[in-house]
Amino acid sequence: MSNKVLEGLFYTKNDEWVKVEDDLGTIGISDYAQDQLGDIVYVEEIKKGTIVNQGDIITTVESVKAVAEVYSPISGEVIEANHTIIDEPSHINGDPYGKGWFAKIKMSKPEETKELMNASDYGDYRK
Amino acid sequence: MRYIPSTSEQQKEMLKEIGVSSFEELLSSIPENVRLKKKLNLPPALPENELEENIMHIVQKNADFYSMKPLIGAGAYRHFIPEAEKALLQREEFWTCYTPYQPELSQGTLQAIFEFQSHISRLTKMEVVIPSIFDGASATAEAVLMSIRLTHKEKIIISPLLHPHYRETIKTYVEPHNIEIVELPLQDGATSADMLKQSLDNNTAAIVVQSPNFLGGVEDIQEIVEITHQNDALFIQVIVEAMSLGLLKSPGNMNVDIVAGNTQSFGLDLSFGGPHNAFLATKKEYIRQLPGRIVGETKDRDGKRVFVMTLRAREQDIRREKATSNICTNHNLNVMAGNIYLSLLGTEGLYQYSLLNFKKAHYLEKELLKSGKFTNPFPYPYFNEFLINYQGNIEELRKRLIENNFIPPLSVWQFYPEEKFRQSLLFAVTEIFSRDELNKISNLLSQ
Repeated sequence: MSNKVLEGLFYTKNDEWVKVEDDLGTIGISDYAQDQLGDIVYVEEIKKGTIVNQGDIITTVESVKAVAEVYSPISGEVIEANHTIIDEPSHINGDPYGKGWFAKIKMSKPEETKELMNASDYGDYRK
Repeated sequence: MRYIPSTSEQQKEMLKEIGVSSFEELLSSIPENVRLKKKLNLPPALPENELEENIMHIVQKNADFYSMKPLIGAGAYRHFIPEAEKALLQREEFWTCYTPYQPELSQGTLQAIFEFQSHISRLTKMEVVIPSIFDGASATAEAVLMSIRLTHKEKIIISPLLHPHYRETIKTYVEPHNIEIVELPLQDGATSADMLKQSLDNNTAAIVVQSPNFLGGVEDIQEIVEITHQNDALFIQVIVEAMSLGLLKSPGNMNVDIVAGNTQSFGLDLSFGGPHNAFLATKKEYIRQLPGRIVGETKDRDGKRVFVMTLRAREQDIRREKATSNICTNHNLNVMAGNIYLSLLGTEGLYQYSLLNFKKAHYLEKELLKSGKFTNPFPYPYFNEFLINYQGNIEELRKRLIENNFIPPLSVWQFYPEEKFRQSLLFAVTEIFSRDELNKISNLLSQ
């Protein structure tokens, strides 16, 4: 089982991560999540300008054996979506914290990250 | 003759096995006040031979579509079915309505479904096709649900010339979804582009237009598609008379987004209203929102061409409550009929049949107008169904046709209760009518 956890990110119980830089949150799914899903073959496009609340479904990921909803770890407006994962969903498997990012969200409630886990808590959660 | 196959001895045994003393006790959980205390008012049981005779007497009261040729269409059409199709359909390997999940056991069924998808894809010029939804009305409603999932918008605009039963079915399907349905007002034989423009807004998910429409009219799809797309809505074309695909411009060539089509005309008998079969076709980018099964072609480990169900992650056994596909059984035998029918006719055959439908319908209209007993309510281009106003007594016309073994055309007034349609009749003329018969009909109605 693969369960790499990256320091400095916040994590949800549904295995999403968010990296915060000023009021900008970059989101994705964790190494554990990609490993559980298996080879990812499709990601539903995230539309720029979409307003999401924390916990809203932001997209859907389909692997050869399952389909999973991805929930936004934070509230705000999508200002950029990663189009390379639409054409190459395997980036999510290969580099979940890097090339496999999903979207950048301008955060409307930065305090929400307090409800999320840090790297060491998440590491314990998915031990 | 007994109709319950267990003896009273066996019944006692079963009751003993489950630990109740009598049949009454078995029913004890059903409240007294909802139990029927008297016997059903039924005639006494008949011996088998008398029962058979009895049923045959009832059957003989029915007219069939061979002894009485239908001048009515309005959603179901009698076409010629080649004997070879009927013979091939007797192959019991094809007799299943169930999903061929195990490709190693179902290559024949899967290949036949794949072939049908290919036929429909070529006819509609659409990229992807699902082969089987129960009928055109439910396929149309599924297309509407698809458009809501794709756009996340909450309004649907429906042409008044969409089949009335299809309109009802859409309403039933979307009722739990809190969707606004706007029906455009009826003007003449075509959906009004101006009315559409007034109703379209940026909360519109889709516009649903049938072509040929309920009055047989060929819609100006291209114009309506353009208006629809300018508003970021999806265009759903409904095809009720599939025979029209042999002659009219393909939806895929007009940038239609989703096609819902009834395939009853492809090799299915009328059978008193069903069963039918319907397909959904769409653009590749929308494939994941399609309901129902899709069969794909692939290679097995020896490199041989094989067929499997594909994009399975949409379906309810995998996606549970989030599934876009909740269809288990389908009309596979009718898919098979359509596949055999289209294979037998071929491209040229289907074109010739379509052309015959078009020509014969126009011939009868011309002859009826010549008689002076009929007038044209409003001119519009049509395929094999046309609306015409009768000057005389409609009841008498119906009687005369029935006496001469023709099923009369539809009085559209029951669906469009406006004064101007009081005398309007919707005729359907397919290739089954000879010129002599059409002349006979026009003579009968010109008296």
